[in-house]
Amino acid sequence: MRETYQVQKEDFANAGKVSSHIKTTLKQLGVEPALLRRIAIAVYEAEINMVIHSDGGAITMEIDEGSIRFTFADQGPGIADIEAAMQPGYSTANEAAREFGFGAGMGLPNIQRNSDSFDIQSSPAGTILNLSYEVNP
Amino acid sequence: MSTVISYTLKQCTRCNKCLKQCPTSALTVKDERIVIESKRCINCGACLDACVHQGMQAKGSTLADLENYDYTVALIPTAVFGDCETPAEAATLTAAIGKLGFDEVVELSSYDGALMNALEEVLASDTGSGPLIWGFCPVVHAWIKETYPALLDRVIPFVPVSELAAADVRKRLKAKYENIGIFHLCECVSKLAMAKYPYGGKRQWQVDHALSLTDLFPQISRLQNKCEANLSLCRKGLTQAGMNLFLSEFPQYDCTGADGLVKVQRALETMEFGQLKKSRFVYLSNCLGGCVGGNLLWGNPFDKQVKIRDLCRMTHGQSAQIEASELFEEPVYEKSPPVSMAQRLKEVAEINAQLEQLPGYDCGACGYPTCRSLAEDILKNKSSLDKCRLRRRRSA
Ligand code: SF4
Ligand code: SF4
Repeated sequence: MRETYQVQKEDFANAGKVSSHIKTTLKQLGVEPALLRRIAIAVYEAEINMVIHSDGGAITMEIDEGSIRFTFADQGPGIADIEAAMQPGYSTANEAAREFGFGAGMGLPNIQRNSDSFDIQSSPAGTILNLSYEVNP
Repeated sequence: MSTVISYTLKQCTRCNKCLKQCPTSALTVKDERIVIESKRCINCGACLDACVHQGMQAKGSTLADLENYDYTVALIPTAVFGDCETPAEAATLTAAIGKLGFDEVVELSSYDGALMNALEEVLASDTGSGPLIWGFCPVVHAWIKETYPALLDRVIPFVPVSELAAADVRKRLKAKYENIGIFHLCECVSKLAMAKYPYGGKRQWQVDHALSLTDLFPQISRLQNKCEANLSLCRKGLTQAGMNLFLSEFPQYDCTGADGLVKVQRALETMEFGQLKKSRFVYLSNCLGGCVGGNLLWGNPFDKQVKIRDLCRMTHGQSAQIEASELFEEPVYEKSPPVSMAQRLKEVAEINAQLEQLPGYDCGACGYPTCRSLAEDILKNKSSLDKCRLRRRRSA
């Protein structure tokens, strides 16, 4: 199964909807509760990051017998210092985001903690975050 | 959970109101009658309220069952006192219930009090991630089990208060009577269901019958003027029956409350995303204002929250002394047999392919609550695409 969803820059009103849809799909697939919880947390944080910090992009979910994988690919402006962003509490959230109650941190450490494998690449042209999870076949 | 709701009309007017209200898509219309998928039902009672013809009913036991026992005990939930302005009124209400034919009445506030004290300790020592959930509301418990299983390990595994009391009563009376009948008078549909179909756990369930308080109300109100009685309610236990009151008992834990299915759903979804970060405890109840708003009680939940708060200021009874080990029991949930991811992917792909054929409006005209539920039944060969009225109209 492969599905792609678009996320718009600063579309706070719809922030979290893709994650909800993903969560529903995973439940329909009978993904085991503990795994579902980790995925839900990671995907939600990553989606919100995309809304707050990026110029928009796409989330792709791929599922086969052995794994569940996500790609978060945005169109920039990139994370200048990934190492700093990996520190708990680091935030570049702007005023608009804070008004919506988002932006306590980028949540990258939390995303990493809630994934089996975590890979992030960033340049001014965009950030690509790959997450993957093993499932019992 | 199994359902205690039954459909009683000969013919349905097909307004589809119940279908639309059911949070778990447990209802469908087949051959002009409502069919309830028992396993899916969480006994929230939404369909009872939705049906303008009173077609949906929740049935418990009846007083006729009193005859089968040597000695009978009524358990009275704290929430009924939401209707009382003074302790004296609470006492007459309790006595009136006794006059329905019970040998003894036991009101539950002291047992609720024991749970409230234990909760204090649980909260103080919790180090888990995400807020704790008090699973006293069987609707919430069942909903989490069916739809939000990832949150189950955050539900505090308290033994239901009616069971605590029933066990205590049995211990006290077992030397004197052989055949003791314990009747739980229920403030809501889900408690009826819990007594009838207890969930999880290894314990020997102690309550024999569940009675609906609405059914008994006319008799109780006739008896109420003719009673004189004494009663000492436990303040701490009473606070459990109203949401606002409950939350005010634990100011140091940043507790959050959500009442009614819409808010409960929002809270559960938020927790599932790990986003409820500021609260260490959540109070979730199906009924408005907590159990005082129970769907088998009379009166409105707003005034009752105020009344029970006032009542609390006038009561000084003690909470029951119960061993900590008896307050908790980890429920054991039956597991469905594992299905491989490959198999699931195949099934979901098939359902999605069927869904492509349907308009996706979830209009309910086919008798199914959602297009998805129709698609599922088509794949099980229990229905067909021509059930869809919009498709029929388009092809006509
Ligand atoms: S009681 Fe609630 S869950 Fe059960 S059928 Fe009615 S609306 Fe659905
Ligand atoms: S909140 Fe309502 S449904 Fe839930 S236990 Fe209380 S009275 Fe019953």
